[in-house]
Amino acid sequence: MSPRVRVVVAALGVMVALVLLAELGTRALSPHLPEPELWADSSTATKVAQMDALEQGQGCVDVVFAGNSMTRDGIDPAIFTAADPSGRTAYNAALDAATPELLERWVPEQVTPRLAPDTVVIGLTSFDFNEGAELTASALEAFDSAPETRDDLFGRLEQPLVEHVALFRHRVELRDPEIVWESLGRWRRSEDAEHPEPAGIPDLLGPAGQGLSRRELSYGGSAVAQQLLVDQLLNDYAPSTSQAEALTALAEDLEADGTQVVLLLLPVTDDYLALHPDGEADFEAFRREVLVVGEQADVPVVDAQDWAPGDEVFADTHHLNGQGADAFSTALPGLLPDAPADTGC
Amino acid sequence: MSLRRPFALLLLAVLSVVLLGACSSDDDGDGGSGTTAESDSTGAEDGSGADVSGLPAYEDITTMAADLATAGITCTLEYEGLVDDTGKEVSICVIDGQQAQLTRYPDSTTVEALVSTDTPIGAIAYGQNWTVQVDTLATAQAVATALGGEALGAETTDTTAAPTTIAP
Repeated sequence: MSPRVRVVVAALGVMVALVLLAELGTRALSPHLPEPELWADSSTATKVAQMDALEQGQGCVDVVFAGNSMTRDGIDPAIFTAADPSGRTAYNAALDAATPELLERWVPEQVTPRLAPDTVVIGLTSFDFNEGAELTASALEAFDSAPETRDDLFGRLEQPLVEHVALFRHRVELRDPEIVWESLGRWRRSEDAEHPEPAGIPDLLGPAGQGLSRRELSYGGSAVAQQLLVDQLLNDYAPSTSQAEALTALAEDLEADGTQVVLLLLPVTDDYLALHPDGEADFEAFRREVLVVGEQADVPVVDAQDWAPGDEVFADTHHLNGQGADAFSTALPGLLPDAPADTGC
Repeated sequence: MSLRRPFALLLLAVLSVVLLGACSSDDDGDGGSGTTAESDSTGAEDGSGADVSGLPAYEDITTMAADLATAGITCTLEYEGLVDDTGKEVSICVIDGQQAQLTRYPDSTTVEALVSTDTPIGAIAYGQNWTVQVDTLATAQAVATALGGEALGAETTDTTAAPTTIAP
C-alpha cells in the first residue's frame, strides 16, 4: 500500500470514528435534547405518541375518528365507549384543518397501521371540500413538509435516517451550542427534556386524542370567530373535485382492507351555513357531493348536521363546546351503523 | 512525510466536521415557522394610515404566545403556526374565555391597513407585523400591554360574544 493510500485510509478511519463517536454521544444525550420537530405540529407528534402507546398496550381499537378540529373537539372517545351498547373502544385521530387530501395520507400511513381499527368514522363539513380554503392548504403544506410525513424523494430518503440515526434526527438541535449546553446541563441533573406524552397536552389535547381547548367557550355570534371562518376556511369558496376524489379513494382503500368506513356530516350552527357565499345552497351542494362519494365507495353517510339543539352547544360557528361534545359523543353510538363482526380487539 | 501525514489527518478531520455541518445546514427542520419580520416600516404614504414602525415585531407566533405566558396571559396555541404561501402565519388560542386569532405578517403593510380602518372586527392588539384579534377591547389592551403593542376596538364590549362557563 502506497503512503498516499495509507493516508487516505487512515483519514477515512478517523472520519468514521468521529461520526460513530458523535452518534453514540447524541444517543446518550437524546433524552435530554429538545424534541426534534419531525411532525407538522406538537399535536400531531402527541397523537403519534398516543397511538404508539395504544399499539404497545391494548394493541388496537374498535373505532377511530378522523377528520379536522371539529371531529377532534366534538367527539370524546371515552364517552362514546361508555354510551355504546357494545362498549367499543375508540381513539380520536383527528388533526387541525385536516382535509380528505391530508387524511388520505395520515390515516393509512400513520393511524391504521398502529391501531388496526374495525371502523373508521370520517367527520366532514363543507370547508373540507373548499378548493380555496387558506387554513387547510397551510395544514396540508405543513404535513407534506414535516420530516416524518413528507412524501417527496428527499423525504423518503430522509425518513430511515430520521428514524435510525440520532445524529441526523437531532441535527437541528446539535447546531445550536446553547441548546447543546442546556441539554448537557439536564444530563448532569438527570432531567429529561419535554417530549410528546400519551397523556396529551394540558388544556389542548386529552389522552384519547380529543380536543380540550374549546370546552369552556359558548358561541354568541362572535364577530372574530365568524371572521376566522370566512377568511381562513370559507374564503374563495369553490367545491374541490380533488378532495372528493381523495375521500373516495381513502374510503375505498380502507374498505378493501376490511375496515368499515362511515362518513359523518358534523353539526354546525345556522351562522355557519349563512356565512357561505351562497348560504345554505353551498352546504346543500356539499352534502350532495358527500352522498355521491358514499355511493361510489359504497359506504354509509350519517347526516348529523342538524343534530345540535341550538348555539349553546357550540364554541364558535362550527366547533362543539364541552357540553356539545359530551352530548354528541353520547348520542353518536345510536347514530352510527351497527358495528362489524367483532374482530377481537 | 512525518509532518505531512498528521497534517493531512487533521485537515480531513476538520473537513469531516465542516461537511457534517454543511449537510445539516440546509434544513431548519421546523416545517416553516416563519420568515423573519422586516424591521423597516414606512407607514402609509398618503399620511392617512397608521405608522406602526415604532412597535415591536415578531419572528413567529410561538414567541408571541411565550411572551404572553411570561406576562401571565394564558394562550395555548392550537398549532404552532400555519404559514401560507405569502408568508402569513396564523394560529388560534383561547384568551380570557375568548377565541383569539394570532396573525404574523411578512411585513407591516397589512397591519397598517387593518388599524387604519374605521370599523375593526371585534378588538385588535397589534404591533409592527402582528395582530391578535379578540372580542373585547379589554382583552386586546391586556394583550397589547403584554406584547408591547397597541390596541384598537369599540369601547363597549360585544356582549353577544361574552363567554359563559359550561359545566363539563
